[in-house]
Amino acid sequence: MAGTSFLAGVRTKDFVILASDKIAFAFGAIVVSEEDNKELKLGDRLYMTCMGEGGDVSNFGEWVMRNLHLYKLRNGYEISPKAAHHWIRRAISENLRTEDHWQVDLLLGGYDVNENKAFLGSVDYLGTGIADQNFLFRGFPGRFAYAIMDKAYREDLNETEAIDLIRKCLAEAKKRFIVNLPAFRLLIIDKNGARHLADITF
Amino acid sequence: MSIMSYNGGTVLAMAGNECVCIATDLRLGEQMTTIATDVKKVHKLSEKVYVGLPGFNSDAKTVLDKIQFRKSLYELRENRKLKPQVAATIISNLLYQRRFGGYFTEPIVAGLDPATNKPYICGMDTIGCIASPRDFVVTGTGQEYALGVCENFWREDMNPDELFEATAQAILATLERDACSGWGALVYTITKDKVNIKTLKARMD
Repeated sequence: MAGTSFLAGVRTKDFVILASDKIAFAFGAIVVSEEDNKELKLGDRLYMTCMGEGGDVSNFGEWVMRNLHLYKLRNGYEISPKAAHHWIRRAISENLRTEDHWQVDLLLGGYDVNENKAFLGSVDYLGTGIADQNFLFRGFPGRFAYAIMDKAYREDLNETEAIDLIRKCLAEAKKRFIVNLPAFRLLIIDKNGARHLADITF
Repeated sequence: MSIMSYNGGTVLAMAGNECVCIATDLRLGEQMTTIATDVKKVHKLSEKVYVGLPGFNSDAKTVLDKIQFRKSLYELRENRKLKPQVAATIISNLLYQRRFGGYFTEPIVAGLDPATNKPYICGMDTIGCIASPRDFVVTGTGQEYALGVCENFWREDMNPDELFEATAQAILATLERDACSGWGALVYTITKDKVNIKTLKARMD
């Protein structure tokens, strides 16, 4: 099920970059905001980008944030990206056949300080979880982006090259997707933490 | 569009002389789009018992988590190793608990009895009806293609090498024809002293 948003993630051994669009839609065809923030901070080196049904995104996102913060309070350390991915997938799949199901697709990007590796995973609204991938996309323009990445991705990309590759994927979305997504937030997570890069605008 | 073919994937298992082989493809899709090419559908439950869970990926993962939990509890309480027949019964009961509105996965269990090394394979439907033939079981989107091919390749009392060859050819042929499965295959050969895992490169689509 593709919404009208686009989420992208690229990871190498040392860092993971998450890109998300900045548009919020309503009633299918009206742009309500051009400064929508789809990013959710789950830890110092763990971020989630989330798209889907409006109310579900904010409700689910905050619920995950609070619960993973509780994990940190109880255990004294932050949850690892792999464990967070497992927890989020279970949350969605357990509620799938109830009234409390969430219509959200998300990308999870982080840096695992114990394994010294960057992590990229996704969970969709049905609870299909994919972990530890080099690149992942959510949304219709992902179809174009997968093809671009299959050809151009290399494991030894540096930060500049990775941003260039993401820009190529986002440019394709701008060109070929009927919905106009002109601006994207960029976030990079590595062993030093998370920082925002300059927005990509077309 | 059926929920069982939403993600795609095929698993098949064959039995030989004191050995079993279980094979899986590696594709994960969302209808026509492939979203990952390294997702195996066969998982180790214990040293000599392996379980294959194709079908709807989300439910397959949920069922796998629950089986692993029940297997750990069993081994702690009973202080003995899980037999493949017992694993199959555990999975069957788990699935039948959701008789109305169930999990969309049709599991396969393949393994050797930990004591006697007698081979055991079985397949189930989504509500846990166990069917345990002596030759081979197939499940997933490519099951019709696999049945025909397995029928031809399977013989009585194959040794581990012959069994591996038969299973590998069967899964390869299935992947060629089934659009929803592919991107390579993994074949596990389980014998009494080791488990051999081989990766096969087929047409990568």
